[in-house]
Amino acid sequence: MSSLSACLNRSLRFLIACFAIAYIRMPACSQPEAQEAKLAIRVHLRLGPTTLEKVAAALSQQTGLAINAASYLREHKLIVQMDNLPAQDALDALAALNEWIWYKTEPGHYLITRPRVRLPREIAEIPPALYKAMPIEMRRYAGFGVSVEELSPIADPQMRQELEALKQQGTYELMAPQASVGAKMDSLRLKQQNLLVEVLKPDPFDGKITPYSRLTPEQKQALLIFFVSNALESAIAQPRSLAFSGRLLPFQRDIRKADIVMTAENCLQIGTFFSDEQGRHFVGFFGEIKSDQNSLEPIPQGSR
Amino acid sequence: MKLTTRMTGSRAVLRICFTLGAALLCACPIFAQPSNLSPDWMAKPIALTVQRQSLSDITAILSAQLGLSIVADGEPLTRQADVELNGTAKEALDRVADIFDYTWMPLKSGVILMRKRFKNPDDYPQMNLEEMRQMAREIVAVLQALPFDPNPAHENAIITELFRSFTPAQVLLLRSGRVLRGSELSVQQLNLLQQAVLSSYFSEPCSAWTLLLAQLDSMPQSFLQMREWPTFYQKRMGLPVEPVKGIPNHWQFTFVGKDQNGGELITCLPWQAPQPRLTPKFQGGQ
Repeated sequence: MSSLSACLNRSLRFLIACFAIAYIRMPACSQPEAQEAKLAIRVHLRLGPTTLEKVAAALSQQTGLAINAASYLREHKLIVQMDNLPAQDALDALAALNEWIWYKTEPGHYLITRPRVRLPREIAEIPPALYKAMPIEMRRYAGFGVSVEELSPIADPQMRQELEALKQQGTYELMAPQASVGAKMDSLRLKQQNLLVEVLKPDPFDGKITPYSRLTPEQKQALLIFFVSNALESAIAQPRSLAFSGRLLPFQRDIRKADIVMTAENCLQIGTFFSDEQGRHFVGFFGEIKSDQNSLEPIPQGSR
Repeated sequence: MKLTTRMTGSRAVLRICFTLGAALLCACPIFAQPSNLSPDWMAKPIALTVQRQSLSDITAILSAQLGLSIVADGEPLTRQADVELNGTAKEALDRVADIFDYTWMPLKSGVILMRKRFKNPDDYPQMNLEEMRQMAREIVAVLQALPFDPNPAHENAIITELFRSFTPAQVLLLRSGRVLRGSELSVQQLNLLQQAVLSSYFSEPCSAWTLLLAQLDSMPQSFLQMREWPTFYQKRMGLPVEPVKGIPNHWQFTFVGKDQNGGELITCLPWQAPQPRLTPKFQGGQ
């Protein structure tokens, strides 16, 4: 009985979703209103290197509609060589390029923006939300959803050798992105550092401050890159990068599937054991049990 | 028998709903959109001979020859390139994309999308302050959506709390080298286990992205300054408590923004002072 009701529930939800998608798309595509019909106007956007704000302005000018980009996307750089295509197709292409969306905010007004990220209500919902929150370009750079063959080659011969050894252990696919992306992030930060160190040249030891507003655009960019790459580094480190890649291990999806073992007198291992032809493996994490009195005896329940 | 009927029934319902849904979606213009691409467009002959041209210039030529629109993200690290090619449209797009470190894909509407590939280790994504702030804001919101202790220094404390919640029988089982399954835990223990999982996997990213958001939020009002700092701190639970005595301080290039309470948000930038080191003229800093 419960299986039937679950099935009905799922089916209903699917149908409602289909209706919702159809409803959202229909007005922009097929309403005979004059404003909406302007989306079919063929546009000519031979803009070359430009920003999303300029593309939106050109689209607005050619269609007579008010097409805007979300404020945080206005400076986004693009190369646009679009010619003789309906404004709607141009908007679809811009949106598809970066997983953005566009929609009508009021008659004749359209907004290009990022889709809203649904906040997770359980652990299993965190990875897809993280994956969506990160722009596609940033994900590709960090190696999320990118096959190992597509990653930048690792220049350091010693690291290459160490990674090769991991192929035998079956953890190569897991560790290669971290090594490849980590190496290029280090190199990126070093370059930005050289740009910023210029600030130090006029005797920095006099206690004077250098306001952000006085930095050159390159130095501002260097500071931004430095901070963002620091945060990205926390995302690419194993085993967390799995979550940022949009995936979770079985025990993370459902903690009732977790295996807990004690590996030493004061170490708990939490994760999943699996076996293959190379033996028994463990994926998960471990933590140290801290004791106030060098005793690992648990406090009996009820007395806490 | 009843079970089989129910299963068959539910499958039938699913099938009907799927068919209805699919029909509805197909009627919707976005899915019913006919392709503007001719089936053999990739085989179209292309002659391309350019010298010291940018990706923008080359895509303009390609777009005109193909009769298709092209939109590329960002700006390539390789500013200019020479291309000499007599081949098909596919070969031309493959070559140009490879030279500028991009991938490409066609849309049904006839627009070619070009995205950065980042195979070149020197290339990096475009970073605009406002877009990065939005990204950080969303990631922090996701990481803080479920309640857990986001301090990475408390990871072991949570593991300890979990261990202390075990019954003597469970401890005995663990000490004998056997596996305690999550399914055998009480609701309270499962809650602690969830906290341990969240803390272990998300506390560090949560701290890092929360810090990034604070740095980016305060960046326009921030300043850089050389400051004097204790070289080593004594730490408790991963947090600095007091400077280690007897070790000379050092000078550190420092980013000073504002935290949520209007106080200083300090980030030490790991960059050496220029050589030769100069004698400090002031005793500022912390």
